[in-house]
Amino acid sequence: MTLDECVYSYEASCGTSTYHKKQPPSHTKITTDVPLWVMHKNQLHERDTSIFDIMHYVNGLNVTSSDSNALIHPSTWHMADHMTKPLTRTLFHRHADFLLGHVPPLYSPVYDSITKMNNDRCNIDQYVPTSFTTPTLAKVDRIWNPEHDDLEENPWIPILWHGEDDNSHLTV
Amino acid sequence: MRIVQLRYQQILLGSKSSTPPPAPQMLRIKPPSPNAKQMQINYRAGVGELIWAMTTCRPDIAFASVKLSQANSAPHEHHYHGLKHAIKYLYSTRDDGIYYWRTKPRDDLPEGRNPTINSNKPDLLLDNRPHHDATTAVAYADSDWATCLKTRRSFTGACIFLAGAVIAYSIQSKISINSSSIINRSRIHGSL
Repeated sequence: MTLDECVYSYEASCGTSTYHKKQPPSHTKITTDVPLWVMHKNQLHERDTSIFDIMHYVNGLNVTSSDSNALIHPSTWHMADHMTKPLTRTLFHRHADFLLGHVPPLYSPVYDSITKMNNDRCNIDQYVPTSFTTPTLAKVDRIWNPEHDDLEENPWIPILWHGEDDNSHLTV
Repeated sequence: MRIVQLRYQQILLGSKSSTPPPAPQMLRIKPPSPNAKQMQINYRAGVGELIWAMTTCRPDIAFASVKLSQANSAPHEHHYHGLKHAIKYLYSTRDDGIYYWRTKPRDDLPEGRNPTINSNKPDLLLDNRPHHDATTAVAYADSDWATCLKTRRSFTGACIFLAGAVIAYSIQSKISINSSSIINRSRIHGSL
């Protein structure tokens, strides 16, 4: 495996779809928040290149030279932030849930029952936070349990119902 | 007699003069610490409880435990408050643990309850959330730069995921004071 195959571009690692398409087969993925492909583009020791960049490039080259490793760049979900810096409440609980495995992985059948919106076993109320206070967001909250005044003479009703199998509970 | 590496440093760093890096934060002088009887808690015993929980199955309190353990010799009042806060969090989430997930359910085992998700559930539906295979190990590594106000040491952390949860994690306070966080990151990558 060459370095070109191991190191992804920064734009590719940001998108979920392209991320999975360009993902080479590897047994271990090592993530970093410093894109190593920048060092790959500037391999030569130029006048303005510092020794720190060279050290980072060389270490990354040793890591990615084996066939079983791949170096990727996470966009926002960097779990190692939990180990190095104090986080806010939202980010702390989000990272803690993933660290402890509270969120089932995608391959698990339990993941569908928790996160899928169209699953019958899923209670949609658990995805609606209770902090919706403004009138606009309150109407958004009532999309899944609309009131009569919300749907009366609303031209967007057919669009809102698009894709729903059973709309009988939404009829006015 | 003077031994210098001026020529070597000029080759490495170029013609630019190397100035010391700016300090990210200013050093603060703390007042003397209260005793344990005043705070009605044994600080070292409390930190020991946190470390024991951290090393067994609670990687979420790793950073707080290490930060609190750095003040074992002379804890101040805000360290006591932080320790109480961490113990309260540990008590309120005492049912939490590390969950590893199978690809298929086993019918011969009794059905257990799902873990409690403390984070905001709409956040879990966002894009770019991590999706990993069951047989793929994913390692995360990160480092900060000189965030310790007293020693200017840097924290480096790493965690390895497998089967939906963390299987190994480490957090260290580096002794050497580096001029850049890239050195710490490169070292933690090499250790992985």
